[in-house]
Amino acid sequence: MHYPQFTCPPLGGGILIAIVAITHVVIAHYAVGAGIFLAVTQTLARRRGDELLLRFLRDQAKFLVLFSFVAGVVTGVGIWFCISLVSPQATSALIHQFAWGWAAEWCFFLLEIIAGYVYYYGWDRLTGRQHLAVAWIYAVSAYLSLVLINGIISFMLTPGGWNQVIANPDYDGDLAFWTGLLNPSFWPSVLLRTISCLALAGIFVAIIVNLSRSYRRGERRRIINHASWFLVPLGLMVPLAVWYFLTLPQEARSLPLGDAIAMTLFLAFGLVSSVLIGGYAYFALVRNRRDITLETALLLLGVAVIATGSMEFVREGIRKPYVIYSHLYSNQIPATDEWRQRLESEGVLAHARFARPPTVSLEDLPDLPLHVQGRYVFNAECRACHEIGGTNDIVPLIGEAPRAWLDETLRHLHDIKYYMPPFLGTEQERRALVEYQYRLAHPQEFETPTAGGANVPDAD
Amino acid sequence: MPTELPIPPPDPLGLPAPAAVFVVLMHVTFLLHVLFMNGTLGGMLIACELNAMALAGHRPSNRLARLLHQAIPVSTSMAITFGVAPLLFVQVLYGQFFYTAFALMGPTWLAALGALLVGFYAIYLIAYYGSNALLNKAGAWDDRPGRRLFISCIATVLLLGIAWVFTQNHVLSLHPNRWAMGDEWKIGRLFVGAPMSLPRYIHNVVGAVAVAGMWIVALGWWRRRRGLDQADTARFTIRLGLWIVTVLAGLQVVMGPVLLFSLDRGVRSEVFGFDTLGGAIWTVTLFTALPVQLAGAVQGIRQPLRGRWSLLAAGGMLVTVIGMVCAHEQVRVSYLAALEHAHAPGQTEPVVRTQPVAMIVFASCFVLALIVLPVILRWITRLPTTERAPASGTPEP
Repeated sequence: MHYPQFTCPPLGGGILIAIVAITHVVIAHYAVGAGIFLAVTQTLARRRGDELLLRFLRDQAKFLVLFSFVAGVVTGVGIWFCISLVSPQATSALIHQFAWGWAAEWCFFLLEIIAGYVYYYGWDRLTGRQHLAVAWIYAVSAYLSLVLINGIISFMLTPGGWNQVIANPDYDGDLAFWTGLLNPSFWPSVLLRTISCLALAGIFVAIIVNLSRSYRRGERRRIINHASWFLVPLGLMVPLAVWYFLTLPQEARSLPLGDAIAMTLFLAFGLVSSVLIGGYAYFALVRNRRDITLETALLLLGVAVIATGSMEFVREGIRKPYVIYSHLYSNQIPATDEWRQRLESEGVLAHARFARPPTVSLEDLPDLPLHVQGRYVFNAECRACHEIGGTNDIVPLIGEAPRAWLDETLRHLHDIKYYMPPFLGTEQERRALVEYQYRLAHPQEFETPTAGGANVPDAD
Repeated sequence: MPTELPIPPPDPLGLPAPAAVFVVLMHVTFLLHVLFMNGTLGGMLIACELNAMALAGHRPSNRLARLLHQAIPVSTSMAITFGVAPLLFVQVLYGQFFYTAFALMGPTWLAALGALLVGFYAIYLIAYYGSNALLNKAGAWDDRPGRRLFISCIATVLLLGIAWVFTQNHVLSLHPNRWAMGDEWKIGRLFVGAPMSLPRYIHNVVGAVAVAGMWIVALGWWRRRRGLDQADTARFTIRLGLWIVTVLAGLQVVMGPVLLFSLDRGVRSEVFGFDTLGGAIWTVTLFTALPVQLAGAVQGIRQPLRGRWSLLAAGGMLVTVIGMVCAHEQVRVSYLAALEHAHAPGQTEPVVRTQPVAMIVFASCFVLALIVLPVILRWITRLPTTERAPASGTPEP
């Protein structure tokens, strides 16, 4: 509300975040899983004197550096950029509430990156014990980085008692931090992400070993069979997902369980895909010791990416109408009673300075046509999600609706559609928004004839 | 023009520690970021020149370019990693200015992100087709400086573009009176148009090359001390690095005052002089460390294998960069303080809600990193005997 509204037509901010976030999640989960894979496999290989696995780990390390340390790091910065652009108020809240959490996570990120490089460049320089120690340092720091980030991300959906803590004007900063970080969905979410990390690591092993021409068929199969154990925990996705859903607020839980059919389908895709991959890994790769080709490995990766994307989509979707549950709406307007009263008495345009042009002061507003005022209200309340002519276009949603219907809908927006934030503003602002929306949906009624006979839309 | 400056209020959740704590952390991490970022940007600019000289048949330049291309991927990774922390602390301290400028730059940031991804892979492309340090064998592009030059120029242009975006965002965050463009909040800025916009960028790029010159000196010494380079090779590397330091730091003697005079008058007096702590640190380093750095570099050019001159130049440069970091922050503090006095008294004061336990957890993680990192870095810097240079008599590659 307080910041300029970044839009990304025709995609929309939400889709932009989704593209960058899903890409990053897949790479970052792989980086964490690959760390555990490296450490565990190197420990076993050293104990058994398995030269083949050690040789493969060297290839894996090169892939890790080229893939995770470039694309993963850049998309990690990218997701931060994107959320800062699309949801600056929410990003600010997460940064300020969890500054020490982010800072601690950065320490592990630093350790992870440097340990990763030392591991990669250390094959001919470090002793066996040193190299193994570095593998474990990489694995542990990458995993702890995931744990901390998971706390902050899961907080957005299930802040638990955090909203009650900060409702007290003299609240304890530490209490707010730990209540938010160790929120109700923290543990199931950590476990779900851990399984996802391990599975992605296993799938990427199959891709890397197929990409390299230095392995004979039997060698390749042995490496894949070893890695397939990392896919088996996918079978636990369903009970963990049940645990996860039990920690969610009732309204959020009901969306994927029938109230929003798109969410239901995405959840089903995510869970079924995960279980199928886990089942395939156990029965085909572990028990029957089958080989898989590059094409099959890429197919598995595609299914895993769809599963990850589906689960992330569900997690983001069921958070609506909030971006931080019960604290901040997805249009960046605070979801507190105090702000509701302020906006209903002072108006949203008194606070959303970037919603109206720089040259238009508050005093100028009453002199402007109603639909122009409405356009500014639209900028403040709706444009975060609805881009005219782009994703989630408001015009087809309005359809042929008359003014009375639009007004009634705005009055009870949140009650009619739970995932929509309520309209918060003065009566005048609501009337202005109705007029603007009506004109958007009925442009033909407001066209004025020109001297040459052609019609042009009424200028704002 | 806007009727009032639209500065958003500070985040209501406040600061989780006194601002001074974050200011210190921001300075420390920003210093590390600057050192590596300059190594990357300046290193790529120097590598382009070396590749061009190699194309003309200059063999020592070819060798040094290959070495630089081996080091720059790690330097880039470190620049990004060390850049994350100051980016966090800037948002904690100055979020309302940062996010607004960020949103107004908008698509420019997305372009910078794409440029970073492509540029980073271009940097790795040259490294992987060049000498393979891991396998200790010649790479496919070792005798193809033309290809290296082409790719390194692309990567360098992308890095220069990213530096431009960062500089303009910082300048925009200090100038709320430039947030409006005419009668609109134009999103997708590329040039802020403040007096300091261009001088600041040029100052940053020139400084980056100077710091990269010192990294080349360090590279020369590191290889010499480990017996990887013979005396002639080390002499060439160290002398070239010190030449770059001398010329570029000398150029900063001209660019510095240009940047200083592009600042608002009130800010200038706080950055240069003894009115503020940041200004005092900068002023003292300017008149002590910079001359020491230049003197060390000039002497080092005459006697490149005398370690004391390189050490003097490096020490002088490090202190100068520390002073620069303090001056950089003082410019921000002075601009924002002037804004507060003029337009929104008291508005920029956020509440402080300390989180002592969370802070201790962070401090423990930080100490853990400080203990672990030197150990594993010491392991990796020990070289296997196979990489040592022959005692004597082998010609330059």
